[in-house]
Amino acid sequence: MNSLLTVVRRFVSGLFVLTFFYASAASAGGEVYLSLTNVSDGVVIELTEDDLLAMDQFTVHTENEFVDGLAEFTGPLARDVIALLNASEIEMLHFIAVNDYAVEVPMSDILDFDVIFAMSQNGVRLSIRDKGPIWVIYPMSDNVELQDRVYNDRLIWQLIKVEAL
Amino acid sequence: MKVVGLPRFVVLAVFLAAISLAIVGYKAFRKDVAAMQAASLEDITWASYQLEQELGRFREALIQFQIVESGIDAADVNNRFDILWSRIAIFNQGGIGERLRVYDRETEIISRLFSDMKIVDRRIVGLAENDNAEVVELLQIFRHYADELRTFSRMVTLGEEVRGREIREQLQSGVIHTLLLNGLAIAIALASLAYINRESMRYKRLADTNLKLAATADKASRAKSKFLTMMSHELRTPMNGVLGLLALSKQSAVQNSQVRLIEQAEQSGQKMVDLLADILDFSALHSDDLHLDIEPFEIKQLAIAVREQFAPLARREGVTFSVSVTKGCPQHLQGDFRRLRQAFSHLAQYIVETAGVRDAEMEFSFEGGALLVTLSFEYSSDGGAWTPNLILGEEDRTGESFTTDALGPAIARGFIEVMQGSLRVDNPAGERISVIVSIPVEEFVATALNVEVLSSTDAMAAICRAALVGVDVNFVHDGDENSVHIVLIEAGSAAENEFLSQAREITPPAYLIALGTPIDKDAFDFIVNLPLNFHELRDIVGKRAA
Repeated sequence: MNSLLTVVRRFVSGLFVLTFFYASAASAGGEVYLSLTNVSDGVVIELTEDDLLAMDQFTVHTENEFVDGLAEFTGPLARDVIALLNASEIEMLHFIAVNDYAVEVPMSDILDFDVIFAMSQNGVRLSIRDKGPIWVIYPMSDNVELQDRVYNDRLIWQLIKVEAL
Repeated sequence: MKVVGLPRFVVLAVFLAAISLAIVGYKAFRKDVAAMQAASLEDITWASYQLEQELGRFREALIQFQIVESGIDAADVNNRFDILWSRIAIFNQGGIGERLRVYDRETEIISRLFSDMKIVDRRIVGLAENDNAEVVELLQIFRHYADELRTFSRMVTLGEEVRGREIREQLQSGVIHTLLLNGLAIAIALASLAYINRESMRYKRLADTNLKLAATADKASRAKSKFLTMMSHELRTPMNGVLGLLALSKQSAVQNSQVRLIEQAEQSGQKMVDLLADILDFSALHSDDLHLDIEPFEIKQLAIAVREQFAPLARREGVTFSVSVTKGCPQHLQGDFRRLRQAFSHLAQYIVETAGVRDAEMEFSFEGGALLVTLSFEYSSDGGAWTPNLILGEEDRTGESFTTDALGPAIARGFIEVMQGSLRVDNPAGERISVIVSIPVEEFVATALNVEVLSSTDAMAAICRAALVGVDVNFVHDGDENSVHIVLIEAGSAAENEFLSQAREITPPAYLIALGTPIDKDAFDFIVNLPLNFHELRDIVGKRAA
């Protein structure tokens, strides 16, 4: 019975992903900005710049060790993006940057805090030279518990790939 | 051993010092913790090695770009260049950049690398396939930076190690200082607490001792008062016996010269009885054992009573003494008639005896819910250096010297105070002096009583009317519809039973007073003997009205 449920769930998940892919390809057909992979079922979703911008944009005002003073970051919520995988049992995420730098991020981080995949800083789109096109931003100024080296290491920039473990 | 306590401001200063030390220690500790937190937030060593690595990757991309079919095209080279750029950009922003720039100030390796990158930026963007000469030139530009960045990374590593050690030492030192300061603060606080505890215990002991002393003194005072009271009673009894015998002696056949001697002895005896009465009152005042009998009284009667009590002394001293009651003064007030009379008599007596008074006036009035008695007199130099101190109670409270003439004023003042009154002297240095006593009393409005006289003759009814003149009563007759409060019954005659039967029909039951000796004494509430004593009848009827 359980195996049947798993098969149905994977079928629905696959159907959702295929629908999303079709919509993305039809609307943009541009360069892939972010690749999402569900390691458990092998589903891969590739998101273009337009796909990410089409999602609800969230703004975080925060300071961190890499910017001068309070900065405004805008981008989709990380949990919204991960939700595209339609996987409910994700515990850990593997964030990988363009230079192969990678960090492990617990799923609880993006569920408990408004972590965003920032694409703009102070209204200016982030380029590779400015830690873009995607910089993972934690709302550190609003949450004292995030002002720690552990979370500082998770501010990964030039993010290109997310693996759900 | 005399224990001297520290002034309060010193204790307060010590407390403030302890609190200040604790705050300073806490702030120093917080500062150290904040420094440690900031230092550990990001590892800049890692940032410098990343830069070194990205430079190597960029150079490798350039080398691979020269090789045909290596899979690296111009876009890849540009991509590597952008990543390298982003690593350099870290140096220009935020807390990490600030810390990294410190290490670049001397050698300026990063600054030079960034300048060269800006210079070759367009060349990288426009890099064409198979343009090996350009690639060689670019490699030449960045070649020496590999070694320099390695040196920079090592410098950062060593610098951060030193910095880490300094922070650890600073933290260690801070912890020690904080501990010392807090220890000092705790020691001061404990010392202060110990001092306060010792002082508290000392005050407690003093309070206990004072309580015991006060209790002992109070006990002694009560014993003295009790002794005084007892002795006064004991002395008054034989003295009354002496006075009685003297009175009897006067009635026997004695010569005129002997009568004068007996009268003098009577006067002396009476004075002693009065003095004993004063001692009893004084004793009662001092032992807080004085109870007031608050009853309705006529203010006019009070004035007369004071005059009568004072008359013998006035005659002896040749003083004209008059009393008056102002118009509009209520007829009845409620108070302790006997104490009021004594208080005013004592005041008048003291003034006449000590101030050389020739005439004195005592006026009774009622103002603002208080009985106001003004005793005015003209001060005469014959009276010596009269001062109102004893009246005002400003002398005997020092306690050491209590003269005999102070007893009267002390009793008067004591009575006035017990009755919550006040006493003042107006114009004490002028020609005419006024001693003004104000005692709060309630006005008494007597209820008019309906009185019926049951007698076989009209003469008895007429006598009763005459006796009760001035008393607020209405005389009613048999058959009147008014309710009857008091029935005066001619007793001892054959008609007594008939009168009693008639009186018992009154509802509610009336107060029955027998005029004369009744046959059935138990049937009456009160008996007034014949011949009729007007004063006695007025008194009993007046009390019923109250």
